[in-house]
Amino acid sequence: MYKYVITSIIHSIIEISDDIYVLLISDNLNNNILKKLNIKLNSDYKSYPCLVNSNVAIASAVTSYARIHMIPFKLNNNCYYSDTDSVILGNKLENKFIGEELGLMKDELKGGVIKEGYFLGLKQYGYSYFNREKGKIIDKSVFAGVAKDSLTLLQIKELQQGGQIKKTIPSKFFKSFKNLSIKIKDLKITVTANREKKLIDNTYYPLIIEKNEIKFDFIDVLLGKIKCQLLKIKKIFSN
Amino acid sequence: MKLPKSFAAMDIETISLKDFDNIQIPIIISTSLDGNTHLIKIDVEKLKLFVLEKNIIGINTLIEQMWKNYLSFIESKKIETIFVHNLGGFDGIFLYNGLLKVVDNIKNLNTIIDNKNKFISIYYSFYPSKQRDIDDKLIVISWKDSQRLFPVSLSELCEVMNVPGKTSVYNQAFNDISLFDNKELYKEFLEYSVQDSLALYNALNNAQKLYLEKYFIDICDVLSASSLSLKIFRTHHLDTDIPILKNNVDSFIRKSYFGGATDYYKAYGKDLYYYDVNSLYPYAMVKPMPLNLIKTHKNMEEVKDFNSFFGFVKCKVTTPKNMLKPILPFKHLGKTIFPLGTWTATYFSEEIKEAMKLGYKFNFLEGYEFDTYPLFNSYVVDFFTQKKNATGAQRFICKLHLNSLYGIMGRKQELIKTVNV
Repeated sequence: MYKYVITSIIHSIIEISDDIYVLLISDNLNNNILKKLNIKLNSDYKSYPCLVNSNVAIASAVTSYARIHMIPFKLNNNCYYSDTDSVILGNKLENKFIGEELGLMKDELKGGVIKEGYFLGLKQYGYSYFNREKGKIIDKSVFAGVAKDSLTLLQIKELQQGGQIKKTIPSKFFKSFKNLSIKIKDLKITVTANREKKLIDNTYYPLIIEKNEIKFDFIDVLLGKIKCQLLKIKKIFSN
Repeated sequence: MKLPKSFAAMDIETISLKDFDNIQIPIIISTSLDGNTHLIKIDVEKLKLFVLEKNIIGINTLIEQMWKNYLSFIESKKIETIFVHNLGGFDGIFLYNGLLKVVDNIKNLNTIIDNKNKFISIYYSFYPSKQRDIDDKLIVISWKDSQRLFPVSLSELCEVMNVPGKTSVYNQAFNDISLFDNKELYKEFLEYSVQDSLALYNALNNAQKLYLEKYFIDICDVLSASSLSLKIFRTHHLDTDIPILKNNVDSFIRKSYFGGATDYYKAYGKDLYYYDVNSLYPYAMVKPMPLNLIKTHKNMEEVKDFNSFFGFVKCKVTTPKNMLKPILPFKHLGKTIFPLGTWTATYFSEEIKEAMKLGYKFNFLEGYEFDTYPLFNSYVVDFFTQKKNATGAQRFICKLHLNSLYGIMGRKQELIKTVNV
């Protein structure tokens, strides 16, 4: 183990039995970061980089073009809510925006209109609409942390008014990578709305950034990890 | 045509032990290959006894014995690829834990793990005979996650691949030791464990044929949908080199890499319409893509006309004062938000140009200028045209590859691996 302690950045140590340990270690770390770290700690961490086939310029351009495409739909047509590739609007879209081709819109509700909708925050909303196929009104909801459509419109309304909803999620997996084990238990949770934007007369106002947040430094994260793992190793060896 | 590599499909069934804080233990390992299914079971009678006695050491010995039987079965089959549906989220934890205790040398057991601590692959290398001959070939068995390859449930996968899926459904009563005392239920359970790995085997067998015929790619050679997409892209569409960015360029541009825009504007509404875009990311991929880094501008004043600049810029942004729906993303406490105000960040030039039209003001600090290339056009057009007229497996494949290619371009250089000591 000593060999790895002095040359690798250990993320975590899993004790399998008295004489078997699994070390999770960083691989392919950026050489510049390691250099800085080695100077700071007078350490001898090593990396033998191999290039991963990726190109973040391309990935960044793709998601950026996608956001650009959504801008006019957000700004016009009385938009209530927008997600990566969808919008909920107060006005019907002109026919020229609708179609089968790449980049055109399609009616998610197949001619259905949202009767009522509540929008509480990011990935927190619900609505009801008349489903033509089923011939009845259906509640839909998205709420981070609970299953899709598991909250009724009435519950969403309650949450918007500051209420709490207690829910039991049956047979949830609790995975532990540390013990390499899984337990299945019911999970009791309390759902509340947590919006960050200010709401005045049914309109949300954007957050205002005065200056940049303190920069999150990758090296500090690594330093924290190293310290934590060294303490653990000390404990293992002293036993 | 290449010959398909032989593979196996595996599934682990577990039960919950109420007296041991609901811990799940594996009791059956089901393996399908060549259309046959082999079940390796825990010693049920002893297990019942040990549970009654609350003898955890005894229980662990039984589990270990089951893994020993499994390993010698697998070694005898000389199979190199074993697919497990949801290796990362479930089965891998039991598999890795079990193998660690029964392999001859733990140094030969390795894994690749993603940043959410999920197994991408577990692999074990060994020599077939204990007395090593000179010409003995090292055999490597890889357990791979078929759900990473086809990110849908097993039933959906069976449906699109047009093979019979599971006919019996998971019964919550399977998850308890009392299972063994109910003959009918236990029979149903055994039936269920056979079906799970067999259905997976059949679905993957069809998928393998399909990919070999159409794209000359063996699904045994890849680890995920996106690496499969990348392989198809490289083999059939890529006509230029994609440069790999240097570390400092990568970390500069990575700051401009945001996900999709999500935002909320009004709290309550009546009579609303819900629209979504057909293949938004594929649509974005046919726009001009940055390819080669042509110039680094430490001083952006040398860029006279920003409209002809293409690339990534670090800049000081000032938004318009009274805008209700801002459009530039900003990372705030781990979330991507769309705020007003003034800050310094890095953005893609085309997004800056859109923001300028809406009254955003910029002070450019540093820029990386790229040339452009229609990199994905033939790939996207090909799959999109096929998708329009396709049904079943073909349509599923088109959708999968339209959506899973761009993400691989944003992979980080850092990885996590395991070492056993």
